[in-house]
Amino acid sequence: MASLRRIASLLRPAFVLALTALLTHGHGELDERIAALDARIERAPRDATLVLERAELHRLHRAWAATFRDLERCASLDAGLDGLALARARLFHDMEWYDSALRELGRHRGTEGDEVRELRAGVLDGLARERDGKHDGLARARDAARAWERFFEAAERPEPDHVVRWSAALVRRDGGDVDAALAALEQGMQRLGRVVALELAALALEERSGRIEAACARIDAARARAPRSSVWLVRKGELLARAGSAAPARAVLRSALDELEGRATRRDSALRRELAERAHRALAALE
Amino acid sequence: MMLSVLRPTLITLFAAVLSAPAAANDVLVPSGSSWSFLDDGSLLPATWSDPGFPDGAWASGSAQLGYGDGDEATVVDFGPNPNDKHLTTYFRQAFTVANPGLYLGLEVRLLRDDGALVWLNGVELVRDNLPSGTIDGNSTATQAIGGDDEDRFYRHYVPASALQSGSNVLAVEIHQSSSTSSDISFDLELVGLSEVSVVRGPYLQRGSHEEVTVKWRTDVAVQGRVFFGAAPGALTDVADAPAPALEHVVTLPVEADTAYAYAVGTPAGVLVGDDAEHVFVTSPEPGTEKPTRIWVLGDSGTADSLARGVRDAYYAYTGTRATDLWLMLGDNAYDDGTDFEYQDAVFDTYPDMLRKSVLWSTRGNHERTDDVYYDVFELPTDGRAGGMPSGTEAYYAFDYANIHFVCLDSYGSDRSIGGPMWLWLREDLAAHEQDWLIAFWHHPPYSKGSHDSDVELELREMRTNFLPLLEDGGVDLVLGGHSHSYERSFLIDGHYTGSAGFEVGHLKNPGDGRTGGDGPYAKVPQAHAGTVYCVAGSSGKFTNAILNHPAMFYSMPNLGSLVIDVDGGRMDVKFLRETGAIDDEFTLLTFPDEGLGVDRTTIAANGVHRQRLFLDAGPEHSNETYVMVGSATGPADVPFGSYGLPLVPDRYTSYVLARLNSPMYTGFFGILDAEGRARATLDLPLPRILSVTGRTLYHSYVSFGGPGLAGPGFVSNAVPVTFVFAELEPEDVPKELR
Repeated sequence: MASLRRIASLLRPAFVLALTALLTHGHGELDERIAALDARIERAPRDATLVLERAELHRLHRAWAATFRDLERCASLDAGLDGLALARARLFHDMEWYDSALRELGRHRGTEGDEVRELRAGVLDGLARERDGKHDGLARARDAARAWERFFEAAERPEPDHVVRWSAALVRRDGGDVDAALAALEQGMQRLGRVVALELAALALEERSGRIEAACARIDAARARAPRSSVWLVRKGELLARAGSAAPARAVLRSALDELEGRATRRDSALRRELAERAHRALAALE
Repeated sequence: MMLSVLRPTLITLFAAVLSAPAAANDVLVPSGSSWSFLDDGSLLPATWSDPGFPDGAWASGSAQLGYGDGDEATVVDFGPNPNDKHLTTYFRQAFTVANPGLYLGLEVRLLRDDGALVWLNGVELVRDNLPSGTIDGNSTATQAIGGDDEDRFYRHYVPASALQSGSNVLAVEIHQSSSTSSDISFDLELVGLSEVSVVRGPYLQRGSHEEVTVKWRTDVAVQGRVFFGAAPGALTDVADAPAPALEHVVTLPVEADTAYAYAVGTPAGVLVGDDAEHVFVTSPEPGTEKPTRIWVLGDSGTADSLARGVRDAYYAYTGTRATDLWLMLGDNAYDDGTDFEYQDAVFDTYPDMLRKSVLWSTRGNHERTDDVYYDVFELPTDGRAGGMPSGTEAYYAFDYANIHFVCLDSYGSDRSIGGPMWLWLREDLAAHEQDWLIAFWHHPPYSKGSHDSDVELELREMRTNFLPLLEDGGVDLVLGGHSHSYERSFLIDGHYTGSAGFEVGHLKNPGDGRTGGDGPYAKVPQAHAGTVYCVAGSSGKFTNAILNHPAMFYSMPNLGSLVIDVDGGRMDVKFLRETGAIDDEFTLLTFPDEGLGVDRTTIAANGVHRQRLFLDAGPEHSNETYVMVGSATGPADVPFGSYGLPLVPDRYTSYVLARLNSPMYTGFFGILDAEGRARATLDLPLPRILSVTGRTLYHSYVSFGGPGLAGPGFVSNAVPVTFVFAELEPEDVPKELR
């Protein structure tokens, strides 16, 4: 039995790699580049950097087995090859083998640029999600949050995605640190602008922690900036309704409907109709 | 020592193939010259680059120096073990400069395989294909160089401050990418620059009705200035870049829909421009109807004769008709979107268009060098060009005239439902009220070209996660590249699964969309009224593939680009081949909610004689009886029984009523369908057209709600049709039309 378990544990990675290989598909010019590298490697079979380059193309191709084979070949040609550990970390991150990815990042001796910081934060994030609710979940989440913070501070061009993940790492199932998450979102908005994804994430946190006045103030500020205030009015009405403030909710929802249904519009969209339906539903629930 | 002082202005760049130095510049060290070298595997100390470092015992030889390629003038040694070659080889050369004060900057033309660090008198000038931080004899290049890159000279523009009067020493260390690499190569030319030149651009970015951004690059760090005004020779205004630099970015405040001429230079004067080639017209006020021409390129980044052929065909096609804006759908510079590749594939390929028309871009999977892509383009993150702020240049929106453009990032951004890009798009679609909505990104939602939308992750996710949102928002046209072919769909809606799930029910119009064929795709600007999807990824290369996606009306593996003309409620799209032929075309019509649209508003005696009319009163008027009414007098609000007619009744009104559903007036009387729609055709024979040439007729329709023609029902807007070709004498006009 033990030997069967051992065989199974040895076969599992190979099985996963083989299965994902079956699911891949030709990627046009990626295949051409790989073919060109095949020819160069055939001429210079001991050039580890060419094999490393091909490994990266296989990874972009999501051909994990081929990537793994090339990385192993790199290691046999030049165990100290610069970039080998990082390449392994990228592969394991893509395969969602976060423990392995973190181990490889620990072996990486190159510079800690934006790409490495982002990868590290992504790996720690993945670990934190895996460990959410478990005994070391909180510690993992804190590691991820710190990594995202370091990435955000150093990155030349962070994106809303990064800020969302940073704040999400600060709040997990157990509630986490809402103030820190809000601060992260504010920092993100100061740098990237009042992006709707970050506003909505902040709104959700404020509501979740019972800060209804703060949430309403946020909505009012967003409404003042928006070309159409109806979407924010509907959100405010729904928020007030959920918070048990029925009279203010009704007033806000009626204002939203006045704007949505009273304004002549050049272009109708399902989004506007959906907003109106939401407002009607929320009003009906308050009756 | 000097590095930290020089760093703010020490910007190294990569550009095109070696060409002759500009006049008045001096070649201080020519290519092919003799270099001292150390190839014994020694690990030299950091002082090796100092002018006084002893190199008297070193060997010497003429460039190109290296081994492994068979093209070296001097072969250097790699050590006894070919599987453990020396990682670093060192080169030095002394040269004399009489008057370094002559030079505003230096151009370093470097041939290197794999990585190189160039020092001048102990000061680091250039770091190429090497990591940042401390470099020593054991450091390896960032990536292996191969192919054409092994023989190419890369240009770097650096300050001349390290140059000394009298003797100077260049020291270059060439680093392998690994100890098993097969070759190294080295040569260098050093040019003293006595005057400032523009080496990239100028080009136009981020245009709106209030501003436009001008970008350009010089070979010497200077204070950049844009001169601009109403016409060449009348550049009355200036705007300065924030600080001296090699890369200049200047945003100009402008008036809407206004022509400007411009030049770039320094406070000392113009370097380039102030002529008929440096002009542009700004965007009109958002919502304005203005005939607009858009040129669209996909996967154009081959920098070869194929891309130039596609370009030249468009230039010939558009002639003197200006291009109002143009789009690149990604993979703009193969293979990796490096700065050098962008110089070749974009700046050296489209210089004329770049300086006259604002270019908008989306990222493709070959834009692998993030920094370069975002340095090249200035894209709106804060909604300044229209639309909602996105916080990132990866995805954004902008307005031009009565068109709202949405650019998504199918490559690097989170594509999930509820992710930041998805949330942003939702807000943006809910906010805009333009007549037209065009969306573009790199990975097409439907394709059976060189990429299969049934299989590849990016294509699937864009289809399942973003198309429902876009179609909810009434998107009219979706553009993508990635597959190196042209594929164009029917007018479709609601297909979010794989190709096997495409059904007849997804066809909003099964016709060809051609005015000379089945007729344009007519739609109201509403959710789920239908969208045309185009794959246009063959502006630089084409690939044969199965090309059998069922959503597609037309698919071919041909080179070409898209030409989009928007005029009011009409959008004409053509696929223009590199030969100049039009392989495919279709027309979209969108018309007011008031319920009557047409495919043309002029009829020419020597052209198409037919006007198609599209009635759409809405489902609340389904199965109502309708009648078309005409007027030669014009529109007005005229009480008529329980209705308000939008036309002045006259003799033409009676003329039409007497001929309802005749061959001239097909469908002018009937019953609206379950959707409240119908079609009619005005088809006058040539003699009739001639009889009304120079005149305008108007048509509208009225529906009757309830049985027995009881009212009120629906009253549409009035649309004109003007007859052109030859003016007739009044006595030739039929009496009923006088």
